[in-house]
Amino acid sequence: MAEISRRTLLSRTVLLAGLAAGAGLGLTKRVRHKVAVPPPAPPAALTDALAAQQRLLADYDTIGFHYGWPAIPGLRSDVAAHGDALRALLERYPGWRLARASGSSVPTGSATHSGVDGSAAPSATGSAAPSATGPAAPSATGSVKATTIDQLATATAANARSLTKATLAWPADEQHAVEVVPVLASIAACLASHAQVLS
Amino acid sequence: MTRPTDPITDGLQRVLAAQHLAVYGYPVIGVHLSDPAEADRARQLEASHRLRRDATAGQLVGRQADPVANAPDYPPPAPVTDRSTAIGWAVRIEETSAAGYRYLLECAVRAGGDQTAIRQQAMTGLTEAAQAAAYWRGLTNPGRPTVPFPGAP
Repeated sequence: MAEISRRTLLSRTVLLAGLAAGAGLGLTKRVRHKVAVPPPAPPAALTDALAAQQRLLADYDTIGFHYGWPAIPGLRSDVAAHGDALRALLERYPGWRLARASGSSVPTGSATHSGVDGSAAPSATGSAAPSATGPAAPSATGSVKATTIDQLATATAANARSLTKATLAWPADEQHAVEVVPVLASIAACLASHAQVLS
Repeated sequence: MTRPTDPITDGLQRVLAAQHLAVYGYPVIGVHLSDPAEADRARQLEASHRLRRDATAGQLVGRQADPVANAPDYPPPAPVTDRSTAIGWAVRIEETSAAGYRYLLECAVRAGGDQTAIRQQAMTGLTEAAQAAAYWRGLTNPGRPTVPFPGAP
């Protein structure tokens, strides 16, 4: 039988005691797993604006360029640029990014709380405006597909009014308000000028 | 007297400067417009900008600020010698006005609190400037009368 020194014996004893204590703690201590809380949905006004923009773009594609209006391609190009800008704004919200990354449906932002954490929809447009994924409501571009220039003008004007309302109602203390509000305002003004051109 | 740290005062000053430019520019533009409808539109817009200039100056006085004075001269970006260059300047004037109102809107958000009246004023000004610019652009470039983000830097 091999002999070991007192020092070695002592150190091994301390080591074993430490291991035993650690194992005891590990087995008996209650483990609190962090529950992943999904980030809040982006403001409804923003997702609704994107949904309305997409419907308007589809209306342009339905109408096509056969009406002989020279301005139509330029107007459609503006509307397409609005979609890019709205998506860029939505990228600021983790809830949007998560939904996009996971391939799930786009958050509709149906929450109505308007806090500084960006978790919520501005209340003035939260429930009245159409949902991004739900059925189209007539308040934005209309549930009826535009097939004439007159209908396109009407849908555009309605969209401009909806965005103007969202611009005015957007809470100043919402975390991205300084970036979002001017963009929504410019889009609303642009659509108002479109309605003028189409009328 | 001036309170430079007040964002809304800052925004109103920029709007006022844009209105000074418009009030100066439209009479010059009108001289080169022979079409009655175009000349009439220029007169209407001049009157509208004049009203806004006075109202904005009044707002600034009400906020204990010194309204920015008009410059002795506002040289156009290119010499205004005919209808086309006159319309080009009208577009620039309305774009400047749109930029001023969009900036005012941004200032209203930065100021926080309830700024509904200022936001409404800014939104109306921005929209009307965008529509006026679209009208002028459409006269010389019917295929591209609008820009996607009026007032954006």
